Amino acid sequence: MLGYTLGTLGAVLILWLLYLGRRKRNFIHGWGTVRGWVSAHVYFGVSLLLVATLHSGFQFGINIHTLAYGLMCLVIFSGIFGVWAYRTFPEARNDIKKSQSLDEIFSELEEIDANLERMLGSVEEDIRSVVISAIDRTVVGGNLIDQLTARDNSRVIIDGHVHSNKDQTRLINWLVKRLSGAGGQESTYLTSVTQECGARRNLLRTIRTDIRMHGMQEVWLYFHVPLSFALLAALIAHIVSVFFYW
Amino acid sequence: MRLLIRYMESRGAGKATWESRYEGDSATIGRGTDQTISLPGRRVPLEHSKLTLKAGQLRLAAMGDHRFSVNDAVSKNSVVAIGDEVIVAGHTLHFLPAEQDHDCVIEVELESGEVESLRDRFKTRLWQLAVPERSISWILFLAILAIGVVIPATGFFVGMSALRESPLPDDSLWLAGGLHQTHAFMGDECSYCHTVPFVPAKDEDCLYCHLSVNHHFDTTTLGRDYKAGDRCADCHHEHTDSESLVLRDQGLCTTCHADLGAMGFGFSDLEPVTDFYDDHPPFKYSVLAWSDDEGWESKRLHPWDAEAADRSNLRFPHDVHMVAQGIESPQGTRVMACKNCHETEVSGVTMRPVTMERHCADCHQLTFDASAPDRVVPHGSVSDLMRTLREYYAWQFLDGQAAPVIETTPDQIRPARRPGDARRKESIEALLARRVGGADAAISRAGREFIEDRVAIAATNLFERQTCVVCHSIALTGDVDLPWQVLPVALVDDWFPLTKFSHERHKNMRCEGCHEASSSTAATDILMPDIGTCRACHGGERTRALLQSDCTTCHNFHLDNQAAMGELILIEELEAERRGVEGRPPKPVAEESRSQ
Repeated sequence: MLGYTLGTLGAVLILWLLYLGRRKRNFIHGWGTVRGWVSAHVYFGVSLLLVATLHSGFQFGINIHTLAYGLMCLVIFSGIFGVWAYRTFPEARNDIKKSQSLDEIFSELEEIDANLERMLGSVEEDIRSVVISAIDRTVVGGNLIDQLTARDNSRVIIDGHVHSNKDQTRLINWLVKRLSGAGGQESTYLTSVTQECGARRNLLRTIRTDIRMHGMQEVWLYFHVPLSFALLAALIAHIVSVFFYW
Repeated sequence: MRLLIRYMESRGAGKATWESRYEGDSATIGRGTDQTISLPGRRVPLEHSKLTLKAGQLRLAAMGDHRFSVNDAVSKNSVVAIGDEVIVAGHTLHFLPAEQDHDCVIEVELESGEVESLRDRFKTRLWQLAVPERSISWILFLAILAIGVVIPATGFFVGMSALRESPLPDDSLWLAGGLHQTHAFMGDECSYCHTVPFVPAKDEDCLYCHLSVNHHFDTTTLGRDYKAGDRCADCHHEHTDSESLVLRDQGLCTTCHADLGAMGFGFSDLEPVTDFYDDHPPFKYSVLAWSDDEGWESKRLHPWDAEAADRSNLRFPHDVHMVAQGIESPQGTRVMACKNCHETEVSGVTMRPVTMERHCADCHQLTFDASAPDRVVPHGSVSDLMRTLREYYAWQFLDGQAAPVIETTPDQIRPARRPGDARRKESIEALLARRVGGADAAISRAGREFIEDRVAIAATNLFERQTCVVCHSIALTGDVDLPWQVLPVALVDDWFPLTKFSHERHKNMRCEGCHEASSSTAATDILMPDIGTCRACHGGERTRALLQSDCTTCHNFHLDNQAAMGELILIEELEAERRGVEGRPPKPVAEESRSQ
């Protein structure tokens, strides 16, 4: 009897938790506020873990019932990660960007790129081609893994060879080396160019960190939602099969 | 500082121009509408820089990490002269000579053409990856529904065994837990027990095999309402991967046994019970009592009842047999142990009966004549005994070996025969003389007298002085042929017939821990333990200090003395057969497993 009670409670909870997806699309209308619904969604979701575990009687195997339980756990844990992510990353992203938007930082980067292009008009051709290649081949973001790991696939062409320019290190090292052998007017220009490239590196770091954090902030939903629908199917299968062979 | 700000913006082929004026200490540049020089575009920060006039010098200072360029030189803080060109976030500011009463004219060339933002070249957000979330959700939902329900359920229409043989998912996915080892022979055939879909497994499905399982009470008079559960499955949970199929929760029993009267069983003489340690009635012994009319009858008595005694009609002082230094036996001194007489059955549950032949006869030999110590009378029947005596002494008479009558009294030790002991032959010679010189009748009379004398002496010794009376209660009948009667003997087979006590499981304990035999002086002593003895080790169902013991630790639910649960089904099937209705089909796998 206890098993059926807990099972019914668990099933009702799952259906209600799934209904959030519908409710949030009606932001204004409907009973309660979406904010309240999300809060309840979190608390009831976590309590579902307890209800369903007791319902399982700690009896697991390779079957549709354990699949439903496993999917439910994945959904709940991805949701718990989501709560943590939403409480952590927006603030952290704001801090690393010093309250600017990512657009503003990109704009700063564009300014620097424009400045560099202007400054490069009056330096040696080899310096100009190296720096321009580094600007052209700077990469941020990318596929899922690139975004989540802040992988830097930037390149630079030096002496006709393509090198990795991770964190702009190769470019800056080359400029510093070039600077040590320069003198006079060229030295002044090179110093400015190097400083600009350093500023550019800092902006790129901020952009990559923001992309990584934003990715982490959102990525759980790509599991949470599809797994919820998988769970709904497994729940239907669980209930039908239990009563088929009652 | 007084500024004239002239905005210029390309619109198609023409150009739009408008002006604004400023008078104050410092002019601000940025996207914000509160800025002195407001520059459009999402790349422009809300507050970018500040323009001040000090000692005739215009100074532009960027805020935060922002920068600008003055005549192509990047700067954060710079003096701006008339004629300079300043670029702020893509917009060009020309500082022109003063006009009218202004200190400076700033011509702002607004950059309206949107160049491709650097940001647009890269995928910087997950949503730009266009993960087909909705499609994945639908695919997962439909795939699990198909594998988990739809395909296995088609087996109901096309035949489960056909589905199981195919590579498609079948109802094995639905198996919540393994079968108990006693049911494992059923394999995957769920329909053995789950005969009708969406209907709980019925008792009939269990009783199909378990026909002989007994009821707990008399269902013909009390009905079949078990209160705590109506179905076999309420107490016997299958598919739990547990070693036991029996639900041992004592709450199932105490539903009724806490108060039988309230549950409609008020006529029962069973006392209320809720827990072995805290609330269990004292033990009652099942004692046998003899009555001439009814024979042996069992009575359940408390230890303190006056009638509570072992009335076996035997004499057996345990203390005499169990002295530590041992007792004299024909084989010498013998130290007795409990197990010499009390042996467990192979099952380890019950004890083998104690019998004269196996356990007593080694010492208690039924000899009757000191001159013939190898001859014994049979045990059991008085008439057989008397016949044996007559036969022996008749043979002795005919064999001419009439031995002297050795009178003994109970105080005397029977003299043993010693080799070379001279036999007294006077009486034999006298008899022979009589036989030679007299008639047959005289011999016959003399023989009968001889035999009857000897038989009477031997039997009196046996029954009243030395042998039978040592263990048995003897009554005089007054009958000439069978003057003695051995009172009927019965040993209690099971003192606690409602429990299942296993001696095997208690073999690490001393016998005397429960049975105080060495201080028992009489056979009437009941040497069974009381509930306190058990409670020294056994606690209630949830005790933490003792052995956890529930009802089923000692009691069976299905009682041997009740009708079989399957009887009704048998009757139904027989009736169906008589009516010509086809009965339930046989269960082939069970047959197969038997043949294996």
